[in-house]
Amino acid sequence: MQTIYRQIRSMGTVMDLVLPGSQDAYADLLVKEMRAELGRIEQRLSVYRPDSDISVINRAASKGMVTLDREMAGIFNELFLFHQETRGFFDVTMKPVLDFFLEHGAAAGAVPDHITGAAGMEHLRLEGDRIRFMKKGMQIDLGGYGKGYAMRKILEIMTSKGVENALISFGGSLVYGLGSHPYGNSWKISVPVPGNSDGLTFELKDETLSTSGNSLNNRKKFGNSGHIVNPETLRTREGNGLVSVTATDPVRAEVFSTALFSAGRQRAMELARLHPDLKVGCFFV
Amino acid sequence: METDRRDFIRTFSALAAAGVFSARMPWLSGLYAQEALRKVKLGMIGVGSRGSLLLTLLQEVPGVEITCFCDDYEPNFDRAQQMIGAGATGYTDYRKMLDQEQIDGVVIATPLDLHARMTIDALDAGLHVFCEKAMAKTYEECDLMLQAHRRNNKILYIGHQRLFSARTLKGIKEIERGSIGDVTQIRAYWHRNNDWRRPVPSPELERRINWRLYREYSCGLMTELASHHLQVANWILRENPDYVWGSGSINHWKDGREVYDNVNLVYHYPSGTHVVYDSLISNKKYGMQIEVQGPLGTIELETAYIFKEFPEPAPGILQLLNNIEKQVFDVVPVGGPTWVPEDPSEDRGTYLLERIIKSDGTDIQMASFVSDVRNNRLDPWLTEQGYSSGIATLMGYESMLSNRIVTWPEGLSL
Repeated sequence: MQTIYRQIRSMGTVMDLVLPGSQDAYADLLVKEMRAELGRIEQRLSVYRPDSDISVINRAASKGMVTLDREMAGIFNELFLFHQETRGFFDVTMKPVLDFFLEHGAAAGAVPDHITGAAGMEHLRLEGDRIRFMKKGMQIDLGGYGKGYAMRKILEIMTSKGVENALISFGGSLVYGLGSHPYGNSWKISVPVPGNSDGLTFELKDETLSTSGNSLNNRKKFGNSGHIVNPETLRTREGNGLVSVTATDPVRAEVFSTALFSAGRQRAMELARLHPDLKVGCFFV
Repeated sequence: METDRRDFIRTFSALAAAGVFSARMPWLSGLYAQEALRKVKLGMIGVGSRGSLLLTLLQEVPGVEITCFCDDYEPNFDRAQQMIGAGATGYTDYRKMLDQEQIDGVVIATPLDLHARMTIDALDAGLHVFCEKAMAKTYEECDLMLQAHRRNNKILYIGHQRLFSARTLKGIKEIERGSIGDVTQIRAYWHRNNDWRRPVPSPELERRINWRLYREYSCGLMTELASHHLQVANWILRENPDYVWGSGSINHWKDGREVYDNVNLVYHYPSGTHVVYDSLISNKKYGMQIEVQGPLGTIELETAYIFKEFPEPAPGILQLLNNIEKQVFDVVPVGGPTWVPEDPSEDRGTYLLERIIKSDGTDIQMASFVSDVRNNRLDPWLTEQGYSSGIATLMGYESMLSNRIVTWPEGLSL
């Protein structure tokens, strides 16, 4: 069986597409549309682009109410829902705290009050389609949400084009198994972890697997301080470890893997028990 | 000197270890052999800045004796005498040196307009010759040099050191392996930001010292810089350009110089491939590069980086693709915290060599020349590389001067 492989570089990472039984010309059309959509989303949600919509909001929302368009208003509504569902462990306002640790290292002392004071989604006011930062210095970073959102949009494109079976991996941290492997009834995926040769294994059938943690690559970049902040302690999660979560909705999977990893083992288990629809695998040192 | 020799040998072993010597590069194969080190006696003609660098490198090659040198500019003469020592005889007239010295070959590093005369005289005197690039100042001179090399059956190296550079060799090997597909375009450039002048102790020496700036002696950026990249382009494409059009001007260094301070050219090759070249000395942001492009990727030869148009899948994805091909349904390790660090989405390329090699090839080239002289080993192809680059360089120059398309000259020996 002919299997098409394509790669799209977007949102600071690589999207791998495996399309069994597809044709080159068809895949090219699909990829073209996906690339355009990913570019559009990146231009809306990336904090790495000074002219993105989220960067504009970050600059303007502490000065006054900013009116959101329909898509952005939908996104902000969802951010609040997930904030509640994760008991505050999913919080998109942790960027100033993370920046502090990236600059000063994991061993840095207390985070200054003006930074901790500006962290926390309770300081975000959403009124209908308008948003405002109630504290000076607040910054929104959709790092634990954006790729899930992009994957959701990619799936809409695939479904609309009648694709039934595919594996889509967004840098390995977000993997969607659409339909099934051509010689099986799902997509069998593992997440390597130290001391377990099988790793954490999952079977995906129209499901997402999202993994958050401190990988070797991340540690190279972020040092020992980690790159995910626990909104409760306002410290970054240090040391090796990861949490994998499966869910039908890619956004839900990504949000929960980020939130559970930031929460730490004990709180993660408590939180996971409240959401039996999620399959969770974790590894903490 | 022991240390220098070790340095040279280390560079050379590094080249061998990097696997850059392929069967397609026979001019390097002689260097493999452990040679009996019969002394090779050489003379230097021209020991200015380039000449003294070549002299230094030659002094690091085992089994070389520099017995004489020639330079008609006193500061150069004195420096050379000091570098080589009292044992070497100094001349101000190269013909006298050719007449009086018992040597195996000469190394010529003089202004461009002198290359042909000196090279032909040395070859006719029965000597092997290394002559700095570019080959010569006119088509006819290039041709006469080639004929003299053939007529006397003597080695003629033209100083294109990229033929011996690990980065270029590895890059070209990668191109020959098909890593970027068929070469569809070569983009090369050489940018500097300086006036390209050398200090002149007194005004009457201006033209002599800054010969590169005057049309009587030089073709400027074309012969002094572009000739290197054109040599590499001809080498990669294994053909010579059939026509070129170009445009040049003096738009920044309006200081009385006669050669262009910026040049822009498009070379067309019979296969339909183009080499797009530009050079200027008023901006150095982009530096120097040879970008070889094909449908599967780009190789940047000066730095030995490859950029794939279709990068390899992540390892777990590759395993999945292999499994599907073999009709195997099994677990594949695809998941994990982001395996690519979250950085801007550009591809930074892959370095082709296993470790960084600083040499630009000049040291290896000098060693190769010595080895070939010792063994009286001629490689006509190597000379023809210097020749075809020389002709291509002059075609570009002519096109800019005449404002018209210039074709490969008729009636040449190659």
